[in-house]
Amino acid sequence: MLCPGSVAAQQPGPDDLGKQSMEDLAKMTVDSVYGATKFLQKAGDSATSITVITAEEIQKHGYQTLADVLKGVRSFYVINDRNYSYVGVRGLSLPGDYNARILFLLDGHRVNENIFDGAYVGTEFPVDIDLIERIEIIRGPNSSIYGAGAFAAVINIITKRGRDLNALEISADAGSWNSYKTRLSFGNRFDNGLETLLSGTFYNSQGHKELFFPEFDSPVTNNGIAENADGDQAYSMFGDFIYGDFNIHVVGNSRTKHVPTASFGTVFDDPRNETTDARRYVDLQYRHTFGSWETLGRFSYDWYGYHGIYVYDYASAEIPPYTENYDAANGTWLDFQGDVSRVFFKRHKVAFGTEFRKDIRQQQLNYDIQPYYLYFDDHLTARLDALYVQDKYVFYKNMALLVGLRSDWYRIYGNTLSPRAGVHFNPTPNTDFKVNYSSAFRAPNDYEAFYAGNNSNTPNPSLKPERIRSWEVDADRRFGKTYYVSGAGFLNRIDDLILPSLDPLTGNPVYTNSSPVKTKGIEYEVGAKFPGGLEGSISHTLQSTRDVLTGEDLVNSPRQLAKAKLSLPLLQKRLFASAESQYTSRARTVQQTELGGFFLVNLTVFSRKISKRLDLSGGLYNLLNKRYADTGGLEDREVSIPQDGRSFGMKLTFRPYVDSK
Amino acid sequence: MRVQRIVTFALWLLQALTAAAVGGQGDPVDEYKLKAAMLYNLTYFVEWPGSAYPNRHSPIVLCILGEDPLAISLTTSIPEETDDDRPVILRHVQSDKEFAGCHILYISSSQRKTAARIVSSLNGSSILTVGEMAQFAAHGGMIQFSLEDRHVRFDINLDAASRVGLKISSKLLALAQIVKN
Repeated sequence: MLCPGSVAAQQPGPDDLGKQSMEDLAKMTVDSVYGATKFLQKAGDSATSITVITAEEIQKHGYQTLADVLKGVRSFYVINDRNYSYVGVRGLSLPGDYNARILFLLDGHRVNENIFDGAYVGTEFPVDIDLIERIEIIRGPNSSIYGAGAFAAVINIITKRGRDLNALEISADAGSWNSYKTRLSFGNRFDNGLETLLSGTFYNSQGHKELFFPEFDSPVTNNGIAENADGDQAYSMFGDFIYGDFNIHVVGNSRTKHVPTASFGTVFDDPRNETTDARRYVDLQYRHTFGSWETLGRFSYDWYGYHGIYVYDYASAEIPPYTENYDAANGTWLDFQGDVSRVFFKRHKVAFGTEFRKDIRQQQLNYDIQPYYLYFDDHLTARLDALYVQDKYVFYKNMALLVGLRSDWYRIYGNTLSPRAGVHFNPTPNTDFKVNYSSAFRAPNDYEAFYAGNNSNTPNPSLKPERIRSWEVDADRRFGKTYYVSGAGFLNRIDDLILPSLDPLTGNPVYTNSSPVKTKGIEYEVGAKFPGGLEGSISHTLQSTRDVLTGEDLVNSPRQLAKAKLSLPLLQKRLFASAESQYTSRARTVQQTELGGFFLVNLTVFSRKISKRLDLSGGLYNLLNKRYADTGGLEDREVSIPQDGRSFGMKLTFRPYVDSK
Repeated sequence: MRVQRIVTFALWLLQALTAAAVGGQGDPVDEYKLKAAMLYNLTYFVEWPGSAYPNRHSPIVLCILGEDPLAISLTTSIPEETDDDRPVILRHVQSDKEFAGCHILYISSSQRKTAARIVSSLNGSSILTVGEMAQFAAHGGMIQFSLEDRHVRFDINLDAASRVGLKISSKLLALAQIVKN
């Protein structure tokens, strides 16, 4: 919700700071972004439409997951099929795509895995939301720097550092449907320079005891009621070590969700239907500024594992115990990146870099457990080599030309070029105009191209990468330090969009490159942040995303989104009351019906240091208890998946070592 | 229609509610640039005993012992002059033999093992000792920087300062926390 884009967001230089009074210096907040991450915001200079969400905002609004955060961001919307959450931006959100079209970075490290290109933003996200320092959201394509997958947006999640914690921190959450979370974190910066943050979280939710789905309303399927089928358990671990120019991240998580929707033709109301997603990685970064050369090197090793139990009634005889089908995927990959940045001849800010990725393992596996029958066991490897360069050329005192190009070479698909060009204009220090053209792509993932499952999918190895070409105009204006107005207009053309449809021969889903899609839209936002702590913002997005041939709106593409946020400080900045509302207009479902629009309101009360060592917050979500639903995917018999009514959540954070130095 | 009403109400609310202008927080700044600026600012709030400055325009000598991020920041952000036309001179020192003539001694965190011994070896000289290692003020250091809640804080060991004749302005004491030995 902070200042959008790069409107005069400069740090005061050492001279400027020297001129401040001691009182003013004491009021300043310290930049908590790890030095390299400023550089990791490779797209920061070139990025068009940016929103930054801070830890403070996450606390005030009681966001429990990354999905909750994104629901309140301009032009974003999130749907949930009671298994995963899917994020859409500017009208593009295809059910079942596991967020493949948005690049998620965790401290600059790619979160999207190498089987489904998926990034999981609900309870299945690898990092506890309390560890997030800030989230930088860049709308629009960005493959010219980040490569494949930066199709519709790039979201960079930056975590806190050891020094931001007062040694030990213990947190406990409780919420509706018997949901509990506990977190234990330790963070410190030692005198020898080593800084570390270690954290572990455990989450368990019983979920809805009963969920009703009208499509299954028959005596044979328990009259449409799925009982005790909505459980969710997750654990995550995070370790961060900084020493000098080195930074090591160790991240791991696993999350199991019971699936109540009988997706993929499974037996309804069988508690054995579940999926588990786990992610682990080690990431080593080295950064250094050699004279005027800023450099960053990163080496990482990643692992992703998914498995699910799907209960099938193959005989259609409705006689239990049915057959348990085991579906799994395992991916491991190595990645190396090198980035260099330097200013040449005072006017050219040049960044260039390289990336090598080796997919050591991409395995998809499917078999019936009992009686054992192996349907599918596919092993693949892959390789990617990439180079990019970008130049921001300030050719006149407040005008800059931006040019960038990235080349991604895949062993399978050959070479893909992603160019970008734009003009940035700062008529006054508080005003920013940008005109940008960029082109991005997404390569078909392992699942779309090769997965056959238990004869449930038809593979399509001849899939081509999908491409988006985007024209965008952005305007940002800041009024003093308090008010801001921001807007953007965008025109996108997507070619070869990879969509699932039903294979006419087998009735199975098959992914194909479909007909072109055009998006046009505008978004605007107005907001204020007063020194006393009062802040608010309103945003509105109007867009249409249509298939060029049929003229029809794409599935799950609401034409209007509106968000409003307000945060009121009470009691001398120690108590905050915040409200948030979101409006989503109607959208088409995968089954070609229409879902009504809906309006949601959330309220949170947050107390920082209610006592010296305690923070406490409580929130009411969907306060108006609005009944609404999200579209299902092709794999769901349900036309739509009903979402949660009113719920509550509470969080208590305890810091035993505050004030002892 | 309902959306429009909500939007109008929210806009009215934003306008109607005003906040006391207490001075904004602005954009976050680099931690060590901020601490360096505060350290240089300290010179306005500390009075050295008369003998320390032979005349009004004598420079203030800031001695740096050891190396750590704040030491580096001090070196790169040295101001031209203080408000009362006194230049600041930076001097890197290696041992207690070089402390003579220092007005301020910044003891880097790299010296944490010997910090307590160094502070006691100063023994009566009117040198303002500054550091940011843990327990610095408790061990006799006069000013200790720390980070709390994203703000830079400093603790002042008033006893240690007054014992060697350094006078610290009440304005600074108001902004800091007082620590006892």
